[in-house]
Amino acid sequence: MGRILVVDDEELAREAIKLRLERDGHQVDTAASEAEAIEKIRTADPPYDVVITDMVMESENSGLEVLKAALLRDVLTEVIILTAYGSVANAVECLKRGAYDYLEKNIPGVDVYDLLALKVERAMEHRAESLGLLKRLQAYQQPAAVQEEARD
Amino acid sequence: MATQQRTEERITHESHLYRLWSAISEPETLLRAILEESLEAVGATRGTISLVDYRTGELVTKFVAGLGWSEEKQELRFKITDEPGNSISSYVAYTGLPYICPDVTNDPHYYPIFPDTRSELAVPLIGRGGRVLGVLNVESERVNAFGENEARVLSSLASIAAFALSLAAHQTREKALIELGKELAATPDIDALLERVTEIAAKLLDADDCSLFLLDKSINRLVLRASRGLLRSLVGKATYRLGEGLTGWVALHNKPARLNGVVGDPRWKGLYLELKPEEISAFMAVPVRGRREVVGVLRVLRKKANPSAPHYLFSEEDEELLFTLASQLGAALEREELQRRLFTMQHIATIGELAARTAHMIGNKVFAMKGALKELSLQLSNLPLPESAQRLLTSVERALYEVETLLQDLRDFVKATQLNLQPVCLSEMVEELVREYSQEFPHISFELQLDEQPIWVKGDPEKLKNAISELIENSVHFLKEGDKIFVRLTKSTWVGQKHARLIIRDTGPGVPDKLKEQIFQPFFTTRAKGMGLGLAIVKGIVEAHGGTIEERGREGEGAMFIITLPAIEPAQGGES
Repeated sequence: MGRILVVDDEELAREAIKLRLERDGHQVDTAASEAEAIEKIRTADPPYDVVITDMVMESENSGLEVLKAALLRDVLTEVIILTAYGSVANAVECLKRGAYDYLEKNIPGVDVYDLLALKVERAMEHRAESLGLLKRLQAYQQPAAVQEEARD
Repeated sequence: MATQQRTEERITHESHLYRLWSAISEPETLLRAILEESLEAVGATRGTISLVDYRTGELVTKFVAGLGWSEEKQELRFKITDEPGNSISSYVAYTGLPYICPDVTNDPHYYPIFPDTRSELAVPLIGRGGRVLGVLNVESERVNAFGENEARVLSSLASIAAFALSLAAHQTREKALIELGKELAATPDIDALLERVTEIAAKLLDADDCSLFLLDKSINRLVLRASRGLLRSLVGKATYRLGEGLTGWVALHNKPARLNGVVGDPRWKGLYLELKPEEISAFMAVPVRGRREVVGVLRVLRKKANPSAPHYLFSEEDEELLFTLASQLGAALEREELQRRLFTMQHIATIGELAARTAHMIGNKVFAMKGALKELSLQLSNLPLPESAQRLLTSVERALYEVETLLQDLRDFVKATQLNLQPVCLSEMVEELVREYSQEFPHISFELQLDEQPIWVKGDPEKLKNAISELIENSVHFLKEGDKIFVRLTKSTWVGQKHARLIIRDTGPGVPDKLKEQIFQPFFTTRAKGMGLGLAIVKGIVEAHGGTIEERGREGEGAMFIITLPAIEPAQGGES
């Protein structure tokens, strides 16, 4: 299953998400801040499959910074943004910048943890598809790539 | 040489003008000088200048010249009348015309003060608007001392005196107005300011009472805000509908009213009186105008000194003065209102921001709690758990969901007051909504009434739509099969300001009287669904647009919501 990083400054939330995802068999790391998350993403080897990050932590745009770091480390890492009240606009901005999806933390009457687990599942599938596509592309472009190297 | 002479003449002339000017700025000095000059000019032995006391309808001696004036003689007052024996001066004050008395012995109007008086000449001092301010009177020990020539000379002196008096009054008023202007700008307490305006108006206009009514838009009535005498205890309580009584008439027609007495005037209702109707000598009321509309009425009254005293009328000048006072007040109120709105808006913005932050924090905690609760129930599910514990878990979960619903409502409420303003054709919007709802609820009949001319407002189309929809849905919720909803949109133009007036009336059970005050409050609902922010949000939206909303239906006969919004001219091309 997947290697997942959960980023949230609310300890209880981190732990709850971790427990929920571990039940699905994922390997879950956590980070309590934007800075800690960026450090963990940078040094992760192999990179995380999925990063789940809260939108607002140190700043209004913490989620965006985590997203940037994740895509810089591995462009195919899937990032899911968590938003509490009022930060949907920022989440939309994240989607434009390449986040896989976002999830509102407070939807009355909806089990958002199950919803999150579902989104992680889909993100994993999406990543697998993308990786497969990339492999095929690389295989197809192998000779061309060699030529490119020679020219460099 | 000629030049030098001209220069000298000019200097003399100018110094004469200067003397005249300093005399004018001290009217008493000037009046005394005029009196002395009069005696000399017509060869009289004694003279008086007496002034009209309009309050009592008497003529009061102010200045005397010549010999033999005891204090007692100077203090004589005469009733202004054409009845004989009340003095020649009083008769002249009554007629407003010069009077030559060649021989006092046979004159019916003559009142003896000095035994040696043989003949008299009296001319009126006439102020602006033909009003008699006083009388200049001279006498002689000779019979037939004064003729037409003397009357002409005295009349021209009298006109200077009248001018000086008018000017002095004018200057006093002007000074008071300037003072008031300063006070209006500096007085922070609006109620103190209103009091002050009535005080100054009463003083300047020699009025016995002055009352100020201001329009309360939320109830569409003029409410007494300041008064001086009998009505003082009714401040905040006495109200007039627009058009009701003289005061309501002034506000509705945006015109002044000036009358002698009030008995007999068809507009007079006598709802709230400073004086008994028969005691009122004169009444005057002017609209207090804001930049765009009438915001109140300022009224003054004069009392009769005694039942038989003549009417002490307000003059055109008085009306001008009251108008000036009222417009200064109007401008001050507008400033005040602007500041209040600004303050409210800032207040709302601050609260909105605080609410948003708090909601965000609570949302985060609730999210975490939901997760922990879920894991907890999962772990407990492997254990034999009593049913009561299971129920507790369920109710904690339900409570958390309720908190989230509250947060959502709160978010909606904060959002409702953040507007994206643009010209909106309200007629079109209402028509469309009614069409949609009549399709959605075929069991209810909708009746739509629109003005021929489309009505435009400046608003946030989305928010306005939400507000109107909420009102219609609110109605529908309480209606049975066959009930009706009447929707009517008109333009009302009362008090010079154009308003869009939207009425949504239904034939349902109506709003119980005891609930009327609460329905617009947040978290009030009689409906099962929702947390009851519906009407509070509607009110928030309407008020953020500078409008008003009220419920005017009767319990048992149906609900009636009335929204007013400031109307604008149709947007270009919007007429088609």
